[in-house]
Amino acid sequence: MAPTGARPEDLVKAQVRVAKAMQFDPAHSRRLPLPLLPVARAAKAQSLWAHLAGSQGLQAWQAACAAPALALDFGAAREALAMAEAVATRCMGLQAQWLEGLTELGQEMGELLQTNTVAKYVAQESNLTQQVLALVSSQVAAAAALFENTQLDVAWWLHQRASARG
Amino acid sequence: MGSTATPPQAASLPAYDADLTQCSVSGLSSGAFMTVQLHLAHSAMFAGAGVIAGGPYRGAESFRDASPIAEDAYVQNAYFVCMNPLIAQAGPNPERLAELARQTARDRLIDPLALADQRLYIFTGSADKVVDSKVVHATRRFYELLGVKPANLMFVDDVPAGHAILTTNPEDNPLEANRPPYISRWDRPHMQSWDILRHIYGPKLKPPASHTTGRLLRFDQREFFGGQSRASMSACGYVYVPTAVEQGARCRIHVVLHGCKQGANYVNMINGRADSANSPPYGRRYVTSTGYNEIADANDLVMLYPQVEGRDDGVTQNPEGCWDWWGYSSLDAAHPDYYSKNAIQISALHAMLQRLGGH
Repeated sequence: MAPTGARPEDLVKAQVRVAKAMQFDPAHSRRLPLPLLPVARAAKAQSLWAHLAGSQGLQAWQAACAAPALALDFGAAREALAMAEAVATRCMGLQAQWLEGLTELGQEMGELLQTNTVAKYVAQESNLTQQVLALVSSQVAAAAALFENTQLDVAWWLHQRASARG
Repeated sequence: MGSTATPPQAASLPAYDADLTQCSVSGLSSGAFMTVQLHLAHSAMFAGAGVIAGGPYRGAESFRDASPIAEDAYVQNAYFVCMNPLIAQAGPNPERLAELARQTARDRLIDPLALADQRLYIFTGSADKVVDSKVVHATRRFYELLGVKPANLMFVDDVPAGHAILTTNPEDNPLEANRPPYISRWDRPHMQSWDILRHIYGPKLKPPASHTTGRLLRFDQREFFGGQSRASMSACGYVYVPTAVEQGARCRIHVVLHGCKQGANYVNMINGRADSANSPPYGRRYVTSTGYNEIADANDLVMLYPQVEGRDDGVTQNPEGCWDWWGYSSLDAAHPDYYSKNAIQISALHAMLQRLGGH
């Protein structure tokens, strides 16, 4: 059961918490005061993009350097084909997860759960919305992971191939 | 996520009459990666190891050129080279890693590599989608290259299991599952932990006890890692002590290393926030239901269950409570030490073994 009762002091406590959150807290030295959040979040995003640009730029450069030397290497061609097949299999796996998630959601919506209060109805409908969002989030995260996985594996594979050729 | 902030009511780890040249270790997933690291770091103390779904030593350092930033490179290697490589040739390279291990031994960061008589149990489920079988095949090859005799190496890859340690418990996940708590049941009449210990210590082990009579003790782990946050270790660990050992019998020690999301105080994250209203989801299930204690009871084996907890605080990135096999606990991200005797987690585990052995 969710707690639905309330005390007169609850709002004051919440306001005090907000006020404290506006200031630096020595007990949580890594937690920033609320007014600094916009700048800090922007800095974090900028840092991630810098990391990504570094990684992906380097990996793309390595691939571009190594690829021409492998043009007539039939062993490399065979492994490259196997890698392409593996990527296709992973893509189909993502598609399968998407379909399973949608089917499960559809079946749940079709069960028409009983409700005697407006609050329960709203909660049930919100749950379905959250499940859709969770499904979309997991698909996006899995697709991003597959992209990173593919890029890094190709770069690593090319690096080893190039090293073996001297 | 968990926290060492609240002081636990736990005693110090006790000492017993243990043979510290006959220890062994086993683990699942990140616990399996750490199993390999601990085994190599202190191989003189060990008789063997059990690796369930784990990769070879220092695999996360395979492709340092993946990124100009070392920390990024090691994490990407951990995920994409050491867990789910697209093909075997894009996975960890056992020849390179064996040479790296030899160099690490020459640098005296780990014990000399005299592994010929060590006994290895290595397992990969053919339906594992978390740590691909290709990676575990590389672990087998890695140990072969380091000289483990073929007769001493038991490699199992024909069970259609997902990512899990296998039990006989009806309440555990179905065999092919790849989901927490990563404990699944198979249709055999025994626990996987018994296979591991029988392979390491030989067929003379007595059958597991039907009911345990020893004691499961909670102990304060913090003295072993100095309470440092970067260790990502829980305040408490556990140790199972058979009655005969408590009464003074000579014993051997087996270290049991849980995998990610399996620590006793692990709390799941929902949309990035600890689901503390429903914690802990699994508790001590890995400690009490995987069969280790039953076979320990019958054979005077002390079972040590050290615990890692989730931490994701902007310095230490370990939200799922995994053992460190890519460097998150290192002081210097560019020169990680997670694999050596100096690593904070390996030092802690070694100190626990020394304590149990009365040193």
